[in-house]
Amino acid sequence: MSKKRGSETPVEKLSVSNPWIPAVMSLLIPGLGQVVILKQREFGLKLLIAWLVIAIGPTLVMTPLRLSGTQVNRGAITLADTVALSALGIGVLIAAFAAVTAYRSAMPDSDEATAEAAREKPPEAALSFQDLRVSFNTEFSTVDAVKGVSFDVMPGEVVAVVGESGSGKSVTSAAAMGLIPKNGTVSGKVFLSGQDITTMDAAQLRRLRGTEVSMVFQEPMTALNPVLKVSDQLKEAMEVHGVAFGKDALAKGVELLELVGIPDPGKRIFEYPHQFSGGQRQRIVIAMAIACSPSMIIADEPTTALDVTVQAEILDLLRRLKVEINTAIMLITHNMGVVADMADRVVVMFQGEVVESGTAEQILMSPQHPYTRRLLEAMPKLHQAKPSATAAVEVSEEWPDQTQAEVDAEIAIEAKDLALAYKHRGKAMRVVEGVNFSVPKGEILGLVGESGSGKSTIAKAVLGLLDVDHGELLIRGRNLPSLSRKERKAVRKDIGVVFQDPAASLDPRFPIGEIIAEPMVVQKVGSPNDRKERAAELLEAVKLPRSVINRYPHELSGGQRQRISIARALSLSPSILIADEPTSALDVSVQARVLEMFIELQEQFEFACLFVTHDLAVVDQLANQIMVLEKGRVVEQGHKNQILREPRMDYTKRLLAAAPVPNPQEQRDRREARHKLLAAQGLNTD
Amino acid sequence: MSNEQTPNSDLDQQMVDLAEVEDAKLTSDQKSYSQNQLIRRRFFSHVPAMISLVVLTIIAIVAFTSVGYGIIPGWWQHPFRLPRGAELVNGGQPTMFQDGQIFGPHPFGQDGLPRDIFARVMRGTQQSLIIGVVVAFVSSVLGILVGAVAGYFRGKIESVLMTLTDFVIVVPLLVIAAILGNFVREMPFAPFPLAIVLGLATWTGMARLVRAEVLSLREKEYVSAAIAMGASPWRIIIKHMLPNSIGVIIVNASFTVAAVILLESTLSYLGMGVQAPEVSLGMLVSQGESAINTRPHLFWIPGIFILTITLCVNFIGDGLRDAFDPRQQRKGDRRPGLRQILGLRGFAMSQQRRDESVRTAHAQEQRERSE
Repeated sequence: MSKKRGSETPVEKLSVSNPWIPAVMSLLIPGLGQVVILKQREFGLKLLIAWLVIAIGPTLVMTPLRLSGTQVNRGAITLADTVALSALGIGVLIAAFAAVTAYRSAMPDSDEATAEAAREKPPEAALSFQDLRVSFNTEFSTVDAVKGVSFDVMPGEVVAVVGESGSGKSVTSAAAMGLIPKNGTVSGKVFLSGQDITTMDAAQLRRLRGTEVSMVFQEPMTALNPVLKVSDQLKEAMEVHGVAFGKDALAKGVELLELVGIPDPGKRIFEYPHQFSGGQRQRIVIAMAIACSPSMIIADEPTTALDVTVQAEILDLLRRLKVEINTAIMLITHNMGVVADMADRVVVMFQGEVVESGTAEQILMSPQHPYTRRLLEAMPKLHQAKPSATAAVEVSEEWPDQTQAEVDAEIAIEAKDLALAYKHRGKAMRVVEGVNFSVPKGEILGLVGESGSGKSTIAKAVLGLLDVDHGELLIRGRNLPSLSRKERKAVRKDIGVVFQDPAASLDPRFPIGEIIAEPMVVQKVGSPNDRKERAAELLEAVKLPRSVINRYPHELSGGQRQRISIARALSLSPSILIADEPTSALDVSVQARVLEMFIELQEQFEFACLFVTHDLAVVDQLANQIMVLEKGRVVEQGHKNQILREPRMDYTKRLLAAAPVPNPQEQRDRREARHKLLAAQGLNTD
Repeated sequence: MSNEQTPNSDLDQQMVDLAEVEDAKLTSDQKSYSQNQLIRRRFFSHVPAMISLVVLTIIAIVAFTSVGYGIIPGWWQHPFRLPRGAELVNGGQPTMFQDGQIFGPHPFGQDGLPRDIFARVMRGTQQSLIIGVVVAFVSSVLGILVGAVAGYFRGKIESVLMTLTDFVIVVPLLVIAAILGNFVREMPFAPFPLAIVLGLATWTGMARLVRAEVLSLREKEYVSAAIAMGASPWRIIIKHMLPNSIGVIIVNASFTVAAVILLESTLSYLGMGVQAPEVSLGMLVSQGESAINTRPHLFWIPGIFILTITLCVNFIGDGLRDAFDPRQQRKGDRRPGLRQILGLRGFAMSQQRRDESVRTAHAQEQRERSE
């Protein structure tokens, strides 16, 4: 303090008391209250810093002026002190609030919580759900997504959670990561390696994710950041959790890529995600998931978006990793074949509840609950030739008969040396070449292939959505490319179409009745009353109540929408139906229902059908003939029994070997057979 | 699907087939909402938008009934033009809440001539509202047409139309508006020629938005299905694409109304918009500005009206956007509450946690007892 000045300054100084200590106290109490009692460390710290700046800052800045203490500066000093004092006042107010909060929240913790903690010792399991309940507040009501789920996942064990849409399996897994959206309320307990997740705050959860638990998502295309190199993304995963930094992290990344079976990892780690194939991307996602060696991996439908052969490879990889790094895996899936291939134990969920749980053998071989039984029945089965002589003889006897019948029937669709191309910036890119086929009336041709094989492109061309580049495409004897616009419209009257995505195939602004009647409106068939009557008829044909006619698509489930799509396709009684993966987005039991109905309708309406799918079992159930495509070329083509029972080409054999079956023992044999087959074909078995 | 009640327990036990459960839900459900009904519901529960709607409606009704429109006379005794034998009351100051009267003869005061400011502001509000609505309509129609055609047909048509759009965008809007505004200043039926001309200058935003929307809708399977059944391009655009992009269109149009009211004010302020015997809010502001020291109400009152109208229209647009696309909504926990701001964020959470622990403890006790 200056002593040069007169008597005024000391008096002034005394009157404006320096509010340092009370200000600090005002920060300490609420800040520490947040940190200690409410376990909000991050926020408490922020609070401390903020109040530090507001309350002490002005006083601190003004200190030199206070020391010199001239007349001119008095106003500034007063202002600074006013700010500090008012901040102090608010701080005291907050301290009072925080004290009350702390008191109220600490009360039950003291007796009940400790007693509870004593009662439920944290289990040994890597992940344990205890009476988990999740409900969501929606615009209209609350929806209970999970209604009391309890099960454990032990270290080194694969537990498959099986269920259809609406069963709550994804919500359960999200709860394990602490990823429930804001409008959801969680009750019950989730223990991850003995720590209760439900009581953690965001910072604690973040630390846990990656090091203790990590996730593999369904869509490998969106799980990686397309503008960052793979090396950067792997390094980030490790650096965030402090596992390794810089060059070490890079070296470890290369190791990881090698572990998940990426060829030439030292070079490829510097590439971007789009330079890898879908299966490889999923491998990279898995590499990121295991980067911090978590004790628990949650795989949410890790193979659903992949082709069968790739799926088999990824499952092989996961199985190997389970043994090598001894993590627990929670596998969420709807595919019983995947379950049979991977799982030690199975939990079956239905409408938010666990209906059955047990070892994979128990559940798959002798299911107890009717829902599990129904699920297993609904799964389309691939009837493959047993290595017995009789079956082979039967097949070869059956085959010529069929061809005889085909010759007599009227040909509905015929392709001769068909080639199709996508135009991109004036350059045509051939995606399908040299395809020949013919579908007689009342028969179904199954187009089978993996993604990028051109099977949907052929369907598009028949629908007239894509111009034919070369060759002939005959619809009931008339060449589509050579027709005029008007004639094409007439031809389209004969073609119905069912698309893949039930969410996008119906216009959300049309009521169901109008959707079904639209083809009739476009082709100017019948009066409005006739159309309405026809729509009601068709609704009955697809086994939906007539009252649905005034409803809107968003009120229906995926399976129901797909049935509406089929009804729309049939509204003009077409002689040709194009079905582009109509059931691949549906649940198994719903798929079974739709396929059953499809067969019935096909018998009733006798349309010729081009059925595009990647699922061999579905084709087995439906098709008369099969065409296998790979990269736009026909690999093999012929009668169903010949293709599925006695495949000739290597690719078809691989495709057949990769399809999993819902029987653990049989699946094990098939797996070995597949490895042998791959070895025999000189391919890498990973 | 998520908005339905889950089926009751006895239904659950009988049905083990997902398809059956879904079908049962469908028949048991009574109420059915269409997309439009849902949007209306959300809009009417949006508080700021509803308040704005009420305010705007009151302003519009008062503006049109008080001074009248065209040959229809209004209930306000003073005309907006200078009447013969007008007298200066209260020195031109507002008589509102003066000398124990609520409105008085000239609630918003008078200008130097002396004209009644209330009548002039009401007339100006009329003009601004008319211009806003007409411009929004003209620019929307033009923008939708250009955008939908460019987005649907692609190829050469698209590049021509979009180049034209870009050309209009790069020229400053105020310059186009000023030139065109000067061009139509002598035409009869003001302010309609001006409104149409402004519409011809402001369609570009709508065109781009509609084109983008149409481009994404093109890839939808229901559009492919419509093409495959032989529907004509116009049917697809009118029946499928425009109804599905109505959200974007309406929201953008409502924001255009607000922007155009401001644009017209700017033009009139610069003397290139609405011309002298006619009145507009921007013109009133520019006239009032010169007398800001002696009669500040001449400047403030029309200014406040401009502000209120544009704010109301913007809030209504916000409400419409939230109603059409609830995913964009900022609501609930994302917006920090009072307690969070005051540093008591843990309170609600700890409260909830305590309730839950009590509940589970109770449940467990009961279970133990029953066992």
